[in-house]
Amino acid sequence: MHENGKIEFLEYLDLSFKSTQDESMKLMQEYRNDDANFIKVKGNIYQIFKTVFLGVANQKALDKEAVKELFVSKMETIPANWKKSYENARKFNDIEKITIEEIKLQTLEEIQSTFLRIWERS
Amino acid sequence: MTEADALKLFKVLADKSRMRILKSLIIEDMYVERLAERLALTPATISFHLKKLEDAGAVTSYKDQYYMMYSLCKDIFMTNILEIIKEEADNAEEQEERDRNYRKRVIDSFFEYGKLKSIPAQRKKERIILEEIAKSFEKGKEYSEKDINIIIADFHDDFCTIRRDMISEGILERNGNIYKAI
Repeated sequence: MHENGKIEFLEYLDLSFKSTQDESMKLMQEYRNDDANFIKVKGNIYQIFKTVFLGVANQKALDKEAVKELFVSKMETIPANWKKSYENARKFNDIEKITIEEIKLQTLEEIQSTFLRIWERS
Repeated sequence: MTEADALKLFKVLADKSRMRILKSLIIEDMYVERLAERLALTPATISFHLKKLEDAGAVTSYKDQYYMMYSLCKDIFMTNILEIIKEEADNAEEQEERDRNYRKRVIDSFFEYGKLKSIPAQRKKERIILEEIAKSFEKGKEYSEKDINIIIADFHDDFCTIRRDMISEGILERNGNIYKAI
């Protein structure tokens, strides 16, 4: 049964999202609006992958291994455009885009490794 | 310093992270990684802020061996704010500035890395886009239709629509199979 893993992973995504909300609020109070916006980008990634994960994990026909396989494949296909956009931004030295795409990719990397850790031990 | 430059600078300065970068650069010139370590921000975030500061004329960069060093443009901070407030804004100049900004916004939103993302539906915006593409043509030079298509195709796949719209907008002139930029 992978119910425990599902609960733990969703808890991690919710807590991470909440922490980005708190941090961006704090940054805005410190007059660091651009930094706050970057943190919001990070928060959006947690939310996107929460939706994706629920879509996968709620499929009754999938067992633990199949959920892992499908979710991991989604984590590989979804950022394909981000990677392309990141490479393009680097080519044209578009600093703002580089920063945003880097945040998205790093956040996804963190989500992926946390998911695998939780899923393996659940 | 013009009013527009001053507003740009003030806007950029109204950010604590950028102020911290300036406080570091007032001590000595620094490179991105050093600033990142000092201010506990990622190098990408530092680069982002430095770019904004550089665009506003607050910092400048130079290459030093392997590093891109950043230094404070002290002169800009010597400007008397009272002088900026007192400055009489020229109406024609202001209008020109507004037009320039509008043009830039249209170009920035419809072009990405030199490619046209889509043809604007609004005529005023399309005109700006067409004029931007027309910069690739040499004024007065005669082009065949094929040459014109190749040049436009570098920007967008729908070169037929763009070519035809350029003619109806009076940007290109067609005489038989020969095209000329006006």
